[in-house]
Amino acid sequence: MKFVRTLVQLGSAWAALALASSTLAAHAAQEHEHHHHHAEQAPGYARQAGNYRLPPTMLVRSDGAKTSFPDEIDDGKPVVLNFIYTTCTAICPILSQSFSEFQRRLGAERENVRMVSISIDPEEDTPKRLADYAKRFDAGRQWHFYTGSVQASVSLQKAFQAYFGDKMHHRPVTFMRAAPGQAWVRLDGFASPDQLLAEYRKLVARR
Amino acid sequence: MFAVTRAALAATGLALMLGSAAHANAATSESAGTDEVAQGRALFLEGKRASGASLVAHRAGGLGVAGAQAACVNCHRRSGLGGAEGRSYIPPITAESLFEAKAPGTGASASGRGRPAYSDKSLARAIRSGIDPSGRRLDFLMPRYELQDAEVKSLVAYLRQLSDQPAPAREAGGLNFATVVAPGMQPERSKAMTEVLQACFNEHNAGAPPEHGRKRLGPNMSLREQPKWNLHIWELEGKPETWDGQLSAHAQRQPVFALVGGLGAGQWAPVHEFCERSALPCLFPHVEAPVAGATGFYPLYLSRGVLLEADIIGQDLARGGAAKRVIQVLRADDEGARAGADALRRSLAERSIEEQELRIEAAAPLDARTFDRAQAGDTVVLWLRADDLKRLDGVHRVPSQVYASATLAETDAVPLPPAWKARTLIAFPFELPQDRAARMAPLHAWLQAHGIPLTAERIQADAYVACSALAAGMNQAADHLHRDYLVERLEAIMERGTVTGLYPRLAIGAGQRFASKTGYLVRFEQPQSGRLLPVGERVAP
Repeated sequence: MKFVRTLVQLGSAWAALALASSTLAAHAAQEHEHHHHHAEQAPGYARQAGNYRLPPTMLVRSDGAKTSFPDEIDDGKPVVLNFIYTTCTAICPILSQSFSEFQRRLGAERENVRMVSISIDPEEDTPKRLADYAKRFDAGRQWHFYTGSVQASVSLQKAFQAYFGDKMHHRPVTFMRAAPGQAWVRLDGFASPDQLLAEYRKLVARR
Repeated sequence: MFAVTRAALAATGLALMLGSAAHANAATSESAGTDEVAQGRALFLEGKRASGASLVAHRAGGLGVAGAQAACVNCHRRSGLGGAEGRSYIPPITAESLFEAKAPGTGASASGRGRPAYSDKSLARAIRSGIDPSGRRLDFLMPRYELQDAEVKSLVAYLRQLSDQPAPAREAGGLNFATVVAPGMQPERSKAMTEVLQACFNEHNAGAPPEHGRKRLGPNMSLREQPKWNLHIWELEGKPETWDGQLSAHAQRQPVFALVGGLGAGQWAPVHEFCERSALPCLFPHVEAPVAGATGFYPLYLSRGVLLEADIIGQDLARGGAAKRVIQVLRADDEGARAGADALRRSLAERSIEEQELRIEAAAPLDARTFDRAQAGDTVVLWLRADDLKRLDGVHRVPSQVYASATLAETDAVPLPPAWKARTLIAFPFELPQDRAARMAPLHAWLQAHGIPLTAERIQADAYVACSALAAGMNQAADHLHRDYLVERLEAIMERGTVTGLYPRLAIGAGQRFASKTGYLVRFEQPQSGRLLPVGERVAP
């Protein structure tokens, strides 16, 4: 029995260590953001650049139209993109709410951006369900929601290095790109609406 | 001797603890009125305040949340036992967990660094300002709520009685489960289901298979002992309106932890409602038509059956655009057919496609005259079973476009005459037979190993999936044996299971109650052959 107990203790120590280190990273990011944007008590996130090659993928928009990625998002506008699912309870409502607040803060400028939310639970998230979800978050016409086959959704998640297995393992990540052909900015964590706006402004200013 | 004394002392201590816990519960239930608990429940489950005002809360970064979206149940779940999403751990908020100190390295409050037990006062502070009793800030995910003192009190009263009872249906002999068989089921089909469940229960009760190779445990390790499972078979009789009374009587005589599997046809609503009302998980019965638009928490289904078929056919008819009029053919007394036809009628009405019903009385023959009313341009949807499909041999004027139901045909060998096969598309809510062969092989081997003949593959596969899901869910819920928690664990893990039976993929989630959501339209490769080919992609209409 002693052996089992040791294993358990090791296990929990390991878990505590993992938790502690992720918390540290979050705190570091928070402090970093604090210096730059004076965002109060903002949840942490980490920024990095990413070059993602998106495979040609057929998706279905919430209005029922079949569209091909990445053509759909290569119309020249800046893109802000995330992965969500409509029955998600903890993480996605916050991501979608942040998108919703982000578009509100953009005001009329929102017409210049293309916002994209791709379902990671596409069999459940029919176009109709996505349309209802869009309404719930007051999505403007610049914000599109996509479903499709499981395969299509997974291949895009993988292309963005944002595939974490099944939907219960997903993590909050936001992607931004100033224009087709340019690198993506990847934000891991919960970026607040103000932070999203700051990141977006920084991105399009460099364009 | 010493050891015995210590054990006795420990037992006394435990008894004292249990005694005081019971006493504390009695005290709280006395002081906490039922109104208070009800108000707490409304806050917890619906985000509803007694005053009628909207429940309002905030997260850092300027994110407000209100009403139902702010209800505790969203993250902490109905059981209050929480869970995990991505890297976010949602801690349990049952009284047992909150009002107990956590040593460092246990629990997750403030990243597992431990905390003193919550008091009513410190809990109020945590809910309002997000500070735990050790003074640390709670996770960003936890909103800070604007609540009155009385509201916090009602919430605490609700938490104190949440998931605090030991699992019912647990006895010295083990844990009890039941399976429901609706009236009118053929005995061999009923046997096909119960045989699989019983073999699966026996396998569970036998414990882990003998150790061999790398699976062998270390010298001082042992597997956790699981309670034995007992299977009870509840056979219903008579009219559906009497089922509820029968189910209640069964449950009174023999309380059970959950219903597993089950066999029915077109009528299942009374069982569904009984499960929901009794807070009894009802896991994956084999039914042709589950309750349409089921919104309950406790009944889970493998597929929407004929309801999914109706949506697949409706979608195809809308896409084709050519259908002038749709004639739905069904036996007047067939509940499964009735459910399918009703669902298709709703779907066609939304698309403004004309629809008529051709009802054949129970004893009436099915022959050429049955279709007198059908005209050349009509699309015919056959909600018919195998025997009637065979009878179409006598009908030589085959409509130009025909749809049929794979569910009602009961096997993949849909026995239509060749002339009909050539013009028929079959709504098929399963994986294609040729694509599920590899998936089904282990089931066939398992049946053989248990000496069970393959008599009704669909029923046997569904029962096997139901029992496998139960085993996976119970394994996860073992430390917190509560019915709500079992359902929540299944929501979380269902899609990780490799046992998917007839279906391409099984997954549920919060508020999702049908595990397989997709189906095909298939046609016969050749009128003479039995091979089914998909027409287009697998769809989730």
